[in-house]
Amino acid sequence: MISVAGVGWVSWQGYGQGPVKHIGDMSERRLPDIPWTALFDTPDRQFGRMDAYSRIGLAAAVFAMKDARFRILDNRIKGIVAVTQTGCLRSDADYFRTVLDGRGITASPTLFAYTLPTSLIGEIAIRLGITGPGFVIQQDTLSGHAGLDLAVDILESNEADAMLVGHCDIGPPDAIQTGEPGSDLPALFFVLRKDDSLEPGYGILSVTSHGMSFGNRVVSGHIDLLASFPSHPEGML
Amino acid sequence: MDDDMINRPPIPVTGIGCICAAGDDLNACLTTLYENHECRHSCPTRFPKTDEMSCPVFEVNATALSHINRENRSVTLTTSLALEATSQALENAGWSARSLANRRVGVCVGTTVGATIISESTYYQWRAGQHPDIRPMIRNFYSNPASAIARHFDLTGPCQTVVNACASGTDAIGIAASWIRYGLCDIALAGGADELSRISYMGFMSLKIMDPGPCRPFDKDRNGLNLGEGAAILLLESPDVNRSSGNRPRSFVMGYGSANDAWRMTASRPDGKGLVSAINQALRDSHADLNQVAFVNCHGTGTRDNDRVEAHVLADMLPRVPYLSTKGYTGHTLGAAGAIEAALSVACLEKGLIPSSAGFETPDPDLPSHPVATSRPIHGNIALSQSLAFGGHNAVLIIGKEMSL
Repeated sequence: MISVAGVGWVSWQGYGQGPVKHIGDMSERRLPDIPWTALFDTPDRQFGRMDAYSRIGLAAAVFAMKDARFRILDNRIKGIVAVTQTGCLRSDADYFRTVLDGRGITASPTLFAYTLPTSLIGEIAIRLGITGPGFVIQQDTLSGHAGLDLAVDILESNEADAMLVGHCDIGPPDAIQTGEPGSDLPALFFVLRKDDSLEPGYGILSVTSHGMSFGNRVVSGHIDLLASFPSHPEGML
Repeated sequence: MDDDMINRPPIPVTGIGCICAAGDDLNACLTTLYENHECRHSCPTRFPKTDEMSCPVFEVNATALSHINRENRSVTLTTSLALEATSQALENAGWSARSLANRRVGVCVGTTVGATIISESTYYQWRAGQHPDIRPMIRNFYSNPASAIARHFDLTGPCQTVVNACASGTDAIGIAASWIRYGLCDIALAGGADELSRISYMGFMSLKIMDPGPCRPFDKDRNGLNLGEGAAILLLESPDVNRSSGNRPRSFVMGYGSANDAWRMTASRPDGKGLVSAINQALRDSHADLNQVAFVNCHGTGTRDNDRVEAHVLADMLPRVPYLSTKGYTGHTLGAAGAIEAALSVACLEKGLIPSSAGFETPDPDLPSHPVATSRPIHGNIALSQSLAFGGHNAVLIIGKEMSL
């Protein structure tokens, strides 16, 4: 059996760990400032220099680990699966500005590295010492449980005792509006763990003939999973 | 077969599509690798060069591109290439879109550029404070390669686009094989696709890892990579479907492993620990042993760091096994690379022969092992195809031939 051991999130208004009932006013979509002190015990100078996509994804992953009572560098977590829709489009725009302004000569190597959606996985792996499989899946929509399916597959194949799985998406740059609604929770990660029955966490996740189930409820994706947490009496965000 | 082998059977590959600078289909690529030994690099022709230095690239030939673009006007070139490779794979395996209608067919495709907005005009407008034309963005969202293939061929199985940088194609094939093993689909179309773009060209230039001449993987004088473009798709059948289809497997996906260096964003861990871990995981997954390995198709980009890590790991783990890089024929096709190299590895196993490692002439005395300088017969039943990616990701496929199911 696989349990959901922890959850971490970054909304447009704040950040934190554990179940969340209200995620605030979503009309103003400005990402919160997250100091490194909220994540790590020792300074991480690179954290503030990351692109926003990697920074909030890493933050949500660390909050999820803390919620699961795992240490940072806990070697039980072997892998990561992240789903995204628009990926690091904002970083693409920032990088491309350096290409256009300098006719190519001033293209920023640092920003270029962040034009890959997998930069998120790299930053998480480096900070948290995760040495197993890592995947970024780009989908037409953030709903659906493809990421959860893949993480469960990896756990069931005994490649890992615990996995981080979730989504990270901050949408396109403000000036390039595409009509895509984006996510209410730009970064949301769960720690999934092979259940040892001693610490069942928030509940058991299983694959049934109806799809992915959490407890007795079929869940359609990450947000729906969070909304299904037992300490969430309204059952919705 | 033991229980674990029954649970994790080799997955038959019955069709292959491949298009890149080396050829418009797999047979044309093989002619390049085995007969012409041509390395079709040139200055970029489809985007303006904005730097004094002009590094060569490997472009798909213009006639083929023109045809592919005409066929698929509503999607990006990356996705057009993926659609072309898919059509080839289906034809190669003898499946038509109609014959797939009642099957659970999954699609898993890796890409990098395909997940990026590369419309320069949009950025120019945005930069100038104008309202950018959002049609290129909408087109990009509509062009998610796996979704576009599923839509085009009306497929309803699992569908994922993997964006794991330069290992994306390898990962996509590994994931698709696991879908079949777990019973999520009966058939899977898996591979990778990427087009050349000025964004990635200037980015690799800024990292100073582009060779201003033809790339020379593992050579003493190697000086970086050359970018390329293309797509490859493998058609995988479940053992049950393969028995009923009667298709003769061209090879089998036997195992897959992936691991992260947890080291640096743009450099491999010098001791190759992540790559070793991925190889070992793939070997465990395949139930193969090192003595069966006929050859290794390396990532072999031609950068000093990448080639050093691979040469050391292979010298330690597979000291007598020949290896090569095919990037001297194809360029580094990023998200497509792992899939193109898997396709070429299948063909090498079929031929019992690996081609010369293009660009390699002078052994590097600082490396403990060297690739093959000339074509060489191979002995053994399995090949390793490995990919190393930004973000510290390593992925390895094990491909085998002539298994009895």
